[in-house]
Amino acid sequence: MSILEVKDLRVSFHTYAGKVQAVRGVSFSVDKGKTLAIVGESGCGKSVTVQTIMKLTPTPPAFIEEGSILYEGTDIVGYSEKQMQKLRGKEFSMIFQDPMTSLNPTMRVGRQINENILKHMTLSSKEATKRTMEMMRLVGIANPEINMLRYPHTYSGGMRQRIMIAMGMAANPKILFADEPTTALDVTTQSQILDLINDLKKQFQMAVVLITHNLGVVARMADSVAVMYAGKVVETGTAREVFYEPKHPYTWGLLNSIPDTANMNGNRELPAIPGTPPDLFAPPKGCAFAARCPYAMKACIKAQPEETCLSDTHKVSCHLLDPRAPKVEPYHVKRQKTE
Amino acid sequence: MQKKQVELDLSDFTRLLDEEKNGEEIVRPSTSFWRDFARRLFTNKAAVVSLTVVAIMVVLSIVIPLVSPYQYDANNLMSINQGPSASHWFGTDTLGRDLWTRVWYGGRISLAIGFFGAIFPALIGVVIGGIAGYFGGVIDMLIMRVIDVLMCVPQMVFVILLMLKFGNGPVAIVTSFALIGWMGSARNVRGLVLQMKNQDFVNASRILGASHLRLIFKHLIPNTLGIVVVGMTMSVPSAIFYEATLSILGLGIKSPLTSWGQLLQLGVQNFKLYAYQLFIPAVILSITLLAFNILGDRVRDALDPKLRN
Amino acid sequence: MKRYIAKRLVISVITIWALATFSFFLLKTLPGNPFQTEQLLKPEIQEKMMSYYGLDKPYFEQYLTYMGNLLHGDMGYSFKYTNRSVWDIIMQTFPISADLGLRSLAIGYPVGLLLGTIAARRRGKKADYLCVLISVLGVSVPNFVIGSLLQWVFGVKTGLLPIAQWKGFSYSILPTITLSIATIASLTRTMRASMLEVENQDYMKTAKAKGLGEKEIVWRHQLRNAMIPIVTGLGPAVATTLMGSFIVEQLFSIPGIGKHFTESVQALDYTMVLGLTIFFGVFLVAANFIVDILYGIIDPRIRITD
Repeated sequence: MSILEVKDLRVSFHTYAGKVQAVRGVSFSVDKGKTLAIVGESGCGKSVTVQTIMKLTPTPPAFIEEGSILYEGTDIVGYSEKQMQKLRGKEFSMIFQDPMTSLNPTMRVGRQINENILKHMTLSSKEATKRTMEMMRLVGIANPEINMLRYPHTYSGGMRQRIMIAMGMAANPKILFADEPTTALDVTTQSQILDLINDLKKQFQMAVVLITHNLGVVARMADSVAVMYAGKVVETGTAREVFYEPKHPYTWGLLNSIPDTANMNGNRELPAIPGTPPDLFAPPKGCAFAARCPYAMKACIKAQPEETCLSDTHKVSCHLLDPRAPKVEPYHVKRQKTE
Repeated sequence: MQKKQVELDLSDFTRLLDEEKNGEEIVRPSTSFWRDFARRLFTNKAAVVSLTVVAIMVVLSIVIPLVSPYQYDANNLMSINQGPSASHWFGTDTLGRDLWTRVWYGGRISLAIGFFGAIFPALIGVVIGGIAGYFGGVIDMLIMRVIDVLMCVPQMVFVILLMLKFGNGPVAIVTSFALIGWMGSARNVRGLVLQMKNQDFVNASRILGASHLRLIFKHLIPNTLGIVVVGMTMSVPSAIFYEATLSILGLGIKSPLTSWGQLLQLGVQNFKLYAYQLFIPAVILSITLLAFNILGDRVRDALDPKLRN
Repeated sequence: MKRYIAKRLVISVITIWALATFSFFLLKTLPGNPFQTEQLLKPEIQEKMMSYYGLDKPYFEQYLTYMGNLLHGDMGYSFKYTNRSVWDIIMQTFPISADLGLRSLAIGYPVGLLLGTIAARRRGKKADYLCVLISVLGVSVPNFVIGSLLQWVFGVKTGLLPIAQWKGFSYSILPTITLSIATIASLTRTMRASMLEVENQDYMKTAKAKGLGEKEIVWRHQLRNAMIPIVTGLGPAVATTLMGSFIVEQLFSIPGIGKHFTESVQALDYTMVLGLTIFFGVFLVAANFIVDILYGIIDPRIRITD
């Protein structure tokens, strides 16, 4: 059974200019010990989705309009702030994008980790300090006795992200949300941090929800993938399904835009998806991707596509899967041709 | 929302041409920076009210002394210390001068000191800060050290010393403010210029052969205008306030010339018997300062794109 | 940190020297002499007085003498209060101003910080509007208006409290309140802005994601960071308040250092003006210096970088 299941979640931001429908009916589930990657371009609602699960978005302006969030079978949408505080840090943890600004600059790092332990575990302060040092060793920081007394600004970005992870892991959470954990880091540090997250996931049988726009990261980490566009999940499935049998034109576009180092001969131009995502103040009536989709049909601007289940895990929302739709070349054929 | 099912028929499954996609329509109209600023300012109730108050004060100060039957400095020893009445709306002072006329004549002086006392320091600050930021190096270091030193100087004391030198008139007051008050805006402008001068739009212009002057006046200064305008709006009330303080201490405007501060100075001397002589100018001054302070806040909010939404 | 302190110290000394030199020559170029104002004195006596005080020597010689004496803490004698040294007068009047200043700070800081915090926590609610209104009014209504209003209500109309002189606790109530209102107003404003600024920082979200309660987040994470700009402003604020308010001392006839400065300027008592100016300068520079070091303690980022 899945540990976290999100069903038809809708989140809106109420601003003075109107309602922004940031998340428009998102569903996905994560299993224990597995990694789900949520992929999409900036502003597609992936961070909002995850922050809504932990209720980190302030209300107002953000409101959950509809949907349910099942954690171990219990719907937590209606949970009070007090109930959420018991879940945050203990059951769910979160790592943010920018380790430079995510740590409190005026508090020693040890204390920032310690805080989490004291809050959620019944330990004496001595034991908690011991655990803090254990956690720091676990994420690869040597000499925690000394290093726990340092302030965040004395650490590099990668080290700070390690501290963020140590902090997130301190109370043995069941789910780790990682919101673009490596985007702000340089490439060599990126892979170290990803390895660390993978190791910890295996060691503690933890579920990971990874937000990213980097498909390389997805390929390396994910068991399953949800592709988001303009506040909706357009395609979801196991990593194998999404990478090898993608069905949605947006997924094709994303996969096409990965630089292919294996077959590089310098002649292939890197394809981009032309255009920009729609304004979520007034989302289109039909498929949000229609305006940028090379295969768009009349139906696409008329109505939202229904979700089609291709297997137990693989679900796609696209009118191309309607039996009446013209057949288009599947992605892998297309890709081989271009190369 | 989009729950209702739309019936699709076969004809809907034909390819769309690019023109039919209606893709990148611009939903919100794009506006220029200053028009956007004006829209945000004028849709704010507090800003409109305080702007109106300021406008009323300015108009009354210009008009009343012209149309009043009394001269602001005409003594009339037959009618001294009279309370407000039909012939003297704000009453008269110890020398029988009409306070209605004097308050608005004083408004001219106070408001003028406010405006010029805000503009001149800002202008000096823009020039010095712009030079420091643009040329950098030794010039920048020297200017910044001078600013460091001047920031440690007790400002009020120095304004007073400079006024000993220049005299008591409005011009002396504005000159003193200009010499003492430019450091804040110089610092701001320098910071911004430093930030901007290596940005691509400036580099592009430089590569195309633009002169120093062109770069400074066409690119750098227009982009610092926002912060300077905010600073200026905020320092109008403090210039008016400082003038009042100086005059009350007997170091500013001297009778028979008048300003709100000078009226208050006389008012303080007599307020045990003739409270109106103090409270009328005090209320006018306070309302004006309040309006300017609120306006300054709103101008800042309206100019700061970070605070949009 | 040591290098940082040394650097600040050098700047401070230069500042004081520049200040003293500039004020000295500025005052020397002023028209008139202090004995003109006492119109009883004949021109011959005025000249005698000038040479007695060494005022007939070349400016530069006077400057060297003055600076030499200054190094020993000797600021010369007042012209107006004959036979009293400037230092004596400072020592007599400064404690009164500092006393008044401390009282007003003791009220102003806690109240201002509290109002600012409340306003930020209750953003957009009635309490916020009330605090913002208090602070805008406090900034806009000048202290002499507030002071004279208090005098009028509590002194003239009801006779509850004395409105002049400095002879005991009841005399200090009205001037203390008057002086503290400006502090309350500006602190409420700064603290509110600072709290809101910190609230948008990423580390506040981290703290929330840890499952900390509202109180823990505010006390451990928000307040300390929000205090940084307050501490930066502390130096000049404390210094100016302790040095006495020209207006409040004048209004309430308090024999503090501010009132003496105003009187010396009016009497063209140059040695007093110069001495007090230098004293104010040193005080302000010292306060800024101390705050810079304090700043390093509260914000660890400063300690290493400079």
